[in-house]
Amino acid sequence: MKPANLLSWILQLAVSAVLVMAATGKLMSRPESVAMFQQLDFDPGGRYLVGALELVAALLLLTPQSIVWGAVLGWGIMTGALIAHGSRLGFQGDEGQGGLMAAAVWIGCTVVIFLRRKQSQSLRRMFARSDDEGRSDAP
Amino acid sequence: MPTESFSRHAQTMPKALSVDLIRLARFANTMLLLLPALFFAAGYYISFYFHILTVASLFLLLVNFSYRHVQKDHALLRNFGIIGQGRYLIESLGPEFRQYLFLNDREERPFNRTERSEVYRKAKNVDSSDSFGTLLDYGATEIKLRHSMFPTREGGVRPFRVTFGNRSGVTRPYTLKNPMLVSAMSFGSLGQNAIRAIARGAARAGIPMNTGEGGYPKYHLMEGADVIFQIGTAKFGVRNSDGELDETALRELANHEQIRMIEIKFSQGAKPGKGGLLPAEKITPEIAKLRGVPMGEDVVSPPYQKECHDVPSTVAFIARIQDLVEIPAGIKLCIGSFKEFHDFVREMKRQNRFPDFITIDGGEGGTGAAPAAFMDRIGLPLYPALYGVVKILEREGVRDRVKLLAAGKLINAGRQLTAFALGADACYTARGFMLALGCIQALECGRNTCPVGITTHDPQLQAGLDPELKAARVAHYVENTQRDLKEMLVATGKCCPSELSVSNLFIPSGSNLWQFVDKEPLLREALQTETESVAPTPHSES
Repeated sequence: MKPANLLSWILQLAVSAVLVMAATGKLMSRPESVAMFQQLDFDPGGRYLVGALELVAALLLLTPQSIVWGAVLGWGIMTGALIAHGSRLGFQGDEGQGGLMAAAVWIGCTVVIFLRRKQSQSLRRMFARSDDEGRSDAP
Repeated sequence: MPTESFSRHAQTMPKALSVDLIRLARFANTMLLLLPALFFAAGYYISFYFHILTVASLFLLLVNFSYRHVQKDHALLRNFGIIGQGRYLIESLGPEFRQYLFLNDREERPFNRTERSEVYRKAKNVDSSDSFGTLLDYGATEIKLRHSMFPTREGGVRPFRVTFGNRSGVTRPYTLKNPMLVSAMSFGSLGQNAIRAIARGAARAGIPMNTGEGGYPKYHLMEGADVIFQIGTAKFGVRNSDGELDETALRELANHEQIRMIEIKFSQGAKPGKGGLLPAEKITPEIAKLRGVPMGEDVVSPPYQKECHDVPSTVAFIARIQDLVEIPAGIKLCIGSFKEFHDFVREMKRQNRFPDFITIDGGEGGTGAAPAAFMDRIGLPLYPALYGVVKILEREGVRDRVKLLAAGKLINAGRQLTAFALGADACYTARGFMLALGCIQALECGRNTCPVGITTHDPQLQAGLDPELKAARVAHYVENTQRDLKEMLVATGKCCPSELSVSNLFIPSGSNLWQFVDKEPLLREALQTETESVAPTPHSES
């Protein structure tokens, strides 16, 4: 296995582990999770939505065909988390711990997207067919 | 800076509404910068739910940034960002939309909708009569059959019979009972379901099927159909490690009871002067094994048969194969130069060895994969080529020594009868049978993505092609085309297709055949006196 792939897999595993933990907290309505989302006026719909998306992202990250999509989804959720911490919750205290964790996962996702950028060719092909010389007369 | 007169003009003329795509794109790119801030504010002051949009717009912003400042492949994306993708997105649907909605019934190539639906209806065995009148440009280019005032009487049409190999005295001559043959399609270019469906249908209709240059014809033989084995330029299935003919393998193959004839391919109408091409995407382990080629790279056959470097060695090579096997052996080629072909025939005469049949493939012939330059620009069209070949053979007095097969878009009775009138003994078609299988002319044969599962090895795509159902369609297609052929023959007052001659054709001046007959100096020189554009051929005047 290439070093880049190895690094990517380590990050994927770590990120999905955090995502799964965070998702169980939200989906099982742990009090601290509920309190946090109430503070955001995002409870319960937002809590379930984010929890479900976190699970999906973790699954995608562990499926070889969709790693980059899982990372993109994880990146989006963590961007939201950073916004929440930045605008309402802050980075201090018990809740702040979650914010730091979100920042770490955000970085992890960004690195995975970069390492798996070749896979996102499929994204480009889906839209532009840029590598399809047979049909595209794209300039 | 507008000049004075221009600005005055602009004041007096009310501005017409129009969409300025460039300004629209600039506006969109600017707005994209503002969106995240807008949504963030909404998320902060109104409801946290708005932050979902904040994240989405941030993502879009990043994608847009990468289009505009990172990638350099597409100038359009670099200048206009994500909105430039609209062009590619819509353009990529173009082929489908043109076929569904925008091209009229006579516009599509290679087969227009009317031609295709005629085959579909024959294959499905439903009524194929049309209403109100022809859609063809009747006056200008279409070759027409001249009918007779006295159509053939009931029972007057003789059953079709053409025997191959009786002149050269092979042990197992082959008699064709139907004027249509399945032209060369290899396992490799087609998937196994498609091959088996055609083979089963061919067996039912009693017509032979050409294997194409795909190595041992495992799937062609499965359904009990008669098979014509093609020796391609790479000799898949009968090659030794040096790429030369493996005589033992050929003799073994030729002894198979289903293999009725051998066809040596010199060139193909779609890409004369270029060997067969199987793209890497379509090479499965099984194909690699049947052909004896590596996986993961395109398989390109040489443009020539290794043993044939001039006319005498070519005739000798054909004779060598005829001596090896006990079945008729012929050749397939697309005509480039009549002088060359004339020399070839003279050499056959000198050595007194003739192939049992010659297949003339027109430049309009089809293929799974070929460079556009070859498909579009090389090879004589079938009708002029066939006409010239017949004339040369007649001039040399050897027309009766070989049978002539014609190939090149002969998917309906009209085109087939034209070929008969020009001197063909039987007609090959490949794409006609693909259409009968349900080909929708997606033009993706070389990409392993055939949406109807014909030219693909993807099991998921092949799953849509049910061999039993499609075999019935193949058989119906043959039967119904034959019925058309017979009815048209009756209209001409003839008893069998071989009685037709050029004088049964009306050739308008817009047809390439007329141009050719009238103006081709080489042919005229070779045939000395070709003053009449529609001279009757001797073999028709009995």
